[in-house]
Amino acid sequence: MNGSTGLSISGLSKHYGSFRALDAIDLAIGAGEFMTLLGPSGSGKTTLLMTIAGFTRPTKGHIRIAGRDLAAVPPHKRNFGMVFQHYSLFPHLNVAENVAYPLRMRRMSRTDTEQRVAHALDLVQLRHLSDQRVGNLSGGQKQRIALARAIVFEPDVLLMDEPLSALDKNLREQMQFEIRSLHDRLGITTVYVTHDQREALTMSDRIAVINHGRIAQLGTPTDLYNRPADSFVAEFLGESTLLPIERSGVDYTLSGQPLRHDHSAPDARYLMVRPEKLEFWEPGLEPTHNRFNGTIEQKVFQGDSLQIRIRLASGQQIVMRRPARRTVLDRIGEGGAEIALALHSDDTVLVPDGAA
Amino acid sequence: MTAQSDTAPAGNAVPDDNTRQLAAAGRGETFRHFALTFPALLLIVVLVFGPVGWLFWLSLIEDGQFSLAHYQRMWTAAYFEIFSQTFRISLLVTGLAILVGYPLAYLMSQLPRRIAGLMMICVLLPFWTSLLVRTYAWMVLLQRRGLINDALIGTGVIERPLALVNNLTGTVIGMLHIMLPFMILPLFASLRTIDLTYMRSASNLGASPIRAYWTVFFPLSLPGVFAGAILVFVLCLGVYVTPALLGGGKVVMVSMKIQQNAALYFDWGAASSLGVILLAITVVLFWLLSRLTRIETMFGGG
Amino acid sequence: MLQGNATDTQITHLQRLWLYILCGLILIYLVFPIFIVVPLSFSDSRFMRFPPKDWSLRWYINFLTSPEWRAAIWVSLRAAVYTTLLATPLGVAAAWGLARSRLPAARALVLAVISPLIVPVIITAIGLFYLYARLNLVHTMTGIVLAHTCLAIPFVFVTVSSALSHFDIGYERAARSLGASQLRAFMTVTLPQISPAVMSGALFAFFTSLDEVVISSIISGGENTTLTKKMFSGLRDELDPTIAAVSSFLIGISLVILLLAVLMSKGRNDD
Repeated sequence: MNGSTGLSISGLSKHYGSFRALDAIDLAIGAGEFMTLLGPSGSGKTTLLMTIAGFTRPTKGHIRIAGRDLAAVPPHKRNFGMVFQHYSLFPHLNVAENVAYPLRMRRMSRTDTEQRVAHALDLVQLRHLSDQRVGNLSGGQKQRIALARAIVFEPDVLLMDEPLSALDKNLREQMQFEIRSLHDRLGITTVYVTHDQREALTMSDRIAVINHGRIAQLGTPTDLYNRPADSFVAEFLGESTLLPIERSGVDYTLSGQPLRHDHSAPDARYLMVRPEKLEFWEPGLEPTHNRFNGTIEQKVFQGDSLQIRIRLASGQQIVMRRPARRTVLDRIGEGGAEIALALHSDDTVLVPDGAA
Repeated sequence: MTAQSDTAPAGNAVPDDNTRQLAAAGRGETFRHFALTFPALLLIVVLVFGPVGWLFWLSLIEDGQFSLAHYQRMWTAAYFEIFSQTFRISLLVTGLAILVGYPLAYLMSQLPRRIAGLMMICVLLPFWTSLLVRTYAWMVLLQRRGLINDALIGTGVIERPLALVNNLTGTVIGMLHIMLPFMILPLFASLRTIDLTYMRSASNLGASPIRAYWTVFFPLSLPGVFAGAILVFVLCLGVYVTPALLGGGKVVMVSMKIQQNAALYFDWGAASSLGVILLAITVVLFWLLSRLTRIETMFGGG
Repeated sequence: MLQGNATDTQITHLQRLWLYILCGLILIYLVFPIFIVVPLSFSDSRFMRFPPKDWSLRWYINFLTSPEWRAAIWVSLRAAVYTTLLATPLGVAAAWGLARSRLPAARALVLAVISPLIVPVIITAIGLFYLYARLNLVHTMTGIVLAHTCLAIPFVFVTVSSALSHFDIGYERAARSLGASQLRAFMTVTLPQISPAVMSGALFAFFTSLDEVVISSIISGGENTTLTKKMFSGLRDELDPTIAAVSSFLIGISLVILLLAVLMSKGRNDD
């Protein structure tokens, strides 16, 4: 199933009256890439996936694969596999018949069909369930069968629409791992939609954060997490505190205090602080770190970590997270105690305003 | 927002703009869906809309030219009496259908599913039995020496047989039997959806069971009653077979007059103008009904 | 038992005894007339007395040996079968097309498709007679079947539409993503799953045709006289006891249809 092809989307728009569900989207997905579309509900990520799949007709724009424009091609002629949120396994067919369905539609010979179905079921380790009725399966099994059915005909692209949202947490994490390893083995170009940022960070080669029908940012999980393009991405992806900053000449200040920073966008409006990037101040940190003084307001024990809410001298609140280790617990005083924090200039990320 | 979308050729790339092709493809798909309804629509338009339109046209023509004469004739006492009788019978049957249908639907909505299901079969059995068979049964039951008169005389309630058939009484009894399922089915469906926790809260708030019923359950059940009542009323207006067989010529409803005018006197103008008026009333009532509920659901869907 | 609570508001069964008795009487009113017909059909007397004094099969013999009754039954059954075969696919196609189209006019089209239920039958009947007279369709099987199909389409349409509105469109999408055209997706995935609704729609169509009196009385006749037309004139002119036998036969058919309909609705509820 190698030799997968990439997908190129250009100027893709979907308008409902004056509402722009998709607003001139450009996105190039590389061959064999695992691309996640991430966004809040109503952002347009599902519309984008449905447009790629062919269920929503775009107002304008192109979806090209190997030079062929698919924008007006009906779904069944696109050769894209798709896994749906609610599995959508056909209840009147058994497991093997479900997986054989796309091959039947392609009028494949009986022996080929049997061979391919067996192979696909092996890939998801459920061959022993071939003759089962779909209704008897567990959620995880259904999702694996849906996956097998979506890849059995060697589609050019695999589309997945929040496939794990109906599963419970433990199973979800296991399935994330399985889907990713299956992807790595097959090298199939995958477009994956989720609203779960953790899932997106775990699984993707690249993530496109969608907001208001546009791509707010496109990049690797590390890029997005460490260098969010704007305040929207910063808040949507991971935990963060955004502190308003002022501009003075070429530099930025936080309540009058100049900020030492390595990364900033032209119109930065906020300092983004990730709770785990904050450290306790040590005298030797002076040349590389920014220093913030404040008082401890609240300590919340969260099992593996300790969340500490600190009121800065300027009046703003900031959140810090440290592992709940003895050395850490000893360092932190009671509520009301003074504390000095350090943030490395490399972690001092200044971002512009992004409409939420 | 980002460099990504700023470089997008938002609507200004003329050679690249495929808006029209996509819209055309979209229209093609809409048309294909629409085309699926063509055969059914074609048949209905040709066989129902066409002839009805034709009747409408006929009703406005007298001796080859446009005239309202047929409608003017409707203002005579004879026609007025027919409409009045049709309305009185329809109102009576509708009222009785509410009085008889409500308690049954109410009880069914409260009983366990199994028992309610058995009762439902009793309601559906007449629904699925030939109209003529039921009318025939009533002719037999209600006749002068029929089972009902025999039973009443046998138990000494009356001395001489009552005239139960070939008059208004027989017509109403027969029509009620035919209309009851149309009252019970939508009413049952609507009573079933009333959340009984409201009754618990009413009790909890101090209402006696009877007051709880009248102040909470009954008002909530009214939309279902209205929907069923309008449906029964409209169906009554158009009834033909039952009064023709159980009325013994003493009951003349609009449908029967239409049939007489057309088939007996070949007076198409009179028949069609009566038809147009009946249809107009029916359509207005259905429009009212559609304000209360989706009409499709009244005929077994939903 | 009677002291137990019947409702959440603590009304006991005893307090509602009147309601149970009333409902029992109503149920008897609904069902009794239907069952009285069957014993009557085995009566030996011309007079429809109940219970019959002597029993015989003479009305059944009458019914089955009379060429007219036999012809009428044959005409009605054929008309019902043809109507079912025509109305079911047309109704299903219309229901599916309208369920999937996003046309703003869809609502108006729904009303157009169910309009034969709304227009009083007598109006349709004389309109059809007027039309058929010009098309030479009066007293023809084609004429009867086309007219009955118009009346039956709304029932198929309504039952199938209702099933489609509860049907997850995801199944059809899945099928299309897997390579099925829209039509094949419908045939291989949707149709098998909504088949109980299609079957009850078909039963409705069959029964509608079999039981239709008004249109049949006006446009059928001659060698294509339907059972209902023959029964209707029989009942209007004289109380021919053969009709009791015919009625019992029809009740038998109704019971079968009701049984099937109940089974179908079970299938629908299980989805």
